[in-house]
Amino acid sequence: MVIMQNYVIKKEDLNKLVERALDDYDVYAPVQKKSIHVYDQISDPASMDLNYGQTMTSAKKLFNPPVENMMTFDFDKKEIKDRLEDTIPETPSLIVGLHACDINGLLFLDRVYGGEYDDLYYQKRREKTTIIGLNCLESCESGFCRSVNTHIVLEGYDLFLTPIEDERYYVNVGSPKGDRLITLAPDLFEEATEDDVDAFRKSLQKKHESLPVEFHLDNLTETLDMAWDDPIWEEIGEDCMNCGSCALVCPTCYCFDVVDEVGLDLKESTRKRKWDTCLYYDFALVAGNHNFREEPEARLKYRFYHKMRGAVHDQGIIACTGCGRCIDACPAGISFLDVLAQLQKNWASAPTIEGGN
Amino acid sequence: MSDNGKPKVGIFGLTGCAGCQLNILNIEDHLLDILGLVDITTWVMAKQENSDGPWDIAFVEGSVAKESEVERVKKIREKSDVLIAIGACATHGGLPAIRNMRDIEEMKETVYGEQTSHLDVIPIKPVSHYVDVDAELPGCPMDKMEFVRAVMALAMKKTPQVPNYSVCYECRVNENPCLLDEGKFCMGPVTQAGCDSLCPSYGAACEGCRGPIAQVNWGAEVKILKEMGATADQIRRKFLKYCPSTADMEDFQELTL
Ligand code: SF4
Ligand code: SF4
Ligand code: SF4
Ligand code: SF4
Repeated sequence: MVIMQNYVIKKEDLNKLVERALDDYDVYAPVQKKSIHVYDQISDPASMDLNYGQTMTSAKKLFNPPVENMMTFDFDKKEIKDRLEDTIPETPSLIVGLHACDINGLLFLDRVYGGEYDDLYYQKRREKTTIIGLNCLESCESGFCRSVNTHIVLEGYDLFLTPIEDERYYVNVGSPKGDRLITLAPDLFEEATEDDVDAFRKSLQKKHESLPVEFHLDNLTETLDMAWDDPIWEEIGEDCMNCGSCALVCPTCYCFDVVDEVGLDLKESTRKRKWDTCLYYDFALVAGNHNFREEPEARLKYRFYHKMRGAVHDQGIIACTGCGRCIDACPAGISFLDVLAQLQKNWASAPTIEGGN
Repeated sequence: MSDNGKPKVGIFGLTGCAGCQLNILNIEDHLLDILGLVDITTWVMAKQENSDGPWDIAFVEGSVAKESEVERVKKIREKSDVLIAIGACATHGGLPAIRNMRDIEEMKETVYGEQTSHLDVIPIKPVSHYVDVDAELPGCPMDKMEFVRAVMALAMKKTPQVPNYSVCYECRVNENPCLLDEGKFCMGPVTQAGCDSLCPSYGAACEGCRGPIAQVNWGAEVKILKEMGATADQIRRKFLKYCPSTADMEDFQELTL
């Protein structure tokens, strides 16, 4: 194994790097949109805003867009065409400023879209994307990344920037794609000195001190196993409108619906996939008008159980990066974090945790 | 079916502003395609010669506001295989039905003075109150692309689908900042999607013109609006402005405003 060289770059020079990258890449970065931030394609480095708490939807949208054409059917010619090649842009992409939670979100999606069933639409985009991560030294408003251990990343980035003193970033290189970015503008990077390593350590220390732990993951699985009939589900069910906002903004919610849209001449049709969520009535509706989750609160509960319990069963890890987007997005003010914390409180003295009586 | 094998279509207007019918005329880009799929044999607003039925598909705009309209809509129903209500007036009573919330005699006099004996006005109801409706395309006005999709579905002998989720879906996909956070009384969470979150995308709160989604949790929306400082009267207006027929629904009556 080769130990990769670490670098530093001035904050102002990051814009120059992006400027140069624009010739080779489609560049995406957080930008301000009215009162919120969103990931958007940029043509001018000045429009990116890396001083952001959280984007409203996650970077998932760049790999699995809200709507996408999968294939087309020609009824006369009896032909089926895969649209994979048309949907993937020719130019590679560069995403600047992904926080650790979002990088972990992508690592989770990699498992889902790359496990038993290969999702080429997702994977092709992923292969063609370079990621510059950005370390958060302070917590964003609703995030609880440290509680779910996603405040750090070990992989999933090509370059990872940590703000250090003197308006500079400490740069970890994570892959050959990251090296390529550096060769694009070698004059902007300097090799990290011992002092820089010290400054980096200080930043990590600062991060360590400022990110709170708000609940404990360790007994979550047992808690949820026991909490199935907890009255809390009915209580929050009264507030939840099943609007689905929580799932739509979530970086790890991966469900989609597949629909065929017939052309006006009734001679051709396009198969599309669109984001879908388990909060919706139609989601668990099957033939014969049977619905597996008829009641609204059953659907809300299902989301919690799938993310925090079912995913552990399927993938070995929870499907939550603690990004806090669902909390920001819920019009009813339901907090994913508070619900989990409350359940743990309710069940903390349960026999399997305390050893039984 | 017409001799050419295309379904015969009638488009009718009851009490409303005719905006939905106008919206059908606005489909210029696709109107010819639609004419390729169906034969519009009756459409008084757009045609000189109109047939007296029967029709394979009838689109009915407007609410039932007069005694004579009850008879009319029943006749249309009898002569049509499929009947589709279009627009908020036809699906939920619509704006005209704010009349239901006032004293009708007073209203008559305000508008027509003393000469009111010729008026056969009755409390305003959506089309489904009087006849069976096969599908509803809500909205004020009805979304023209939804109309196009409905025609296509019907030409393929399928039931037109409207989204069974709320306007918030479209708001999230369009990445709009939530207006509730800005203190605006948005009805999006309980309103059926399908307009591509038209109003919130321009910074205006959803007025609920597409009506409640199935299994709607009105109580939660009321709670949100109350916490934001809306009065009972403001909330009632929000809920009933475009969809007064919801006042007849049991779970609406159970709401404590
Ligand atoms: S469940 Fe909520 S906090 Fe967790 S990843 Fe999804 S949006 Fe973020
Ligand atoms: S965002 Fe809130 S109201 Fe909407 S579905 Fe999620 S929990 Fe329910
Ligand atoms: S602005 Fe309205 S429709 Fe949009 S997300 Fe907020 S509540 Fe929902
Ligand atoms: S946002 Fe609401 S009021 Fe506006 S068109 Fe859509 S449903 Fe109607």
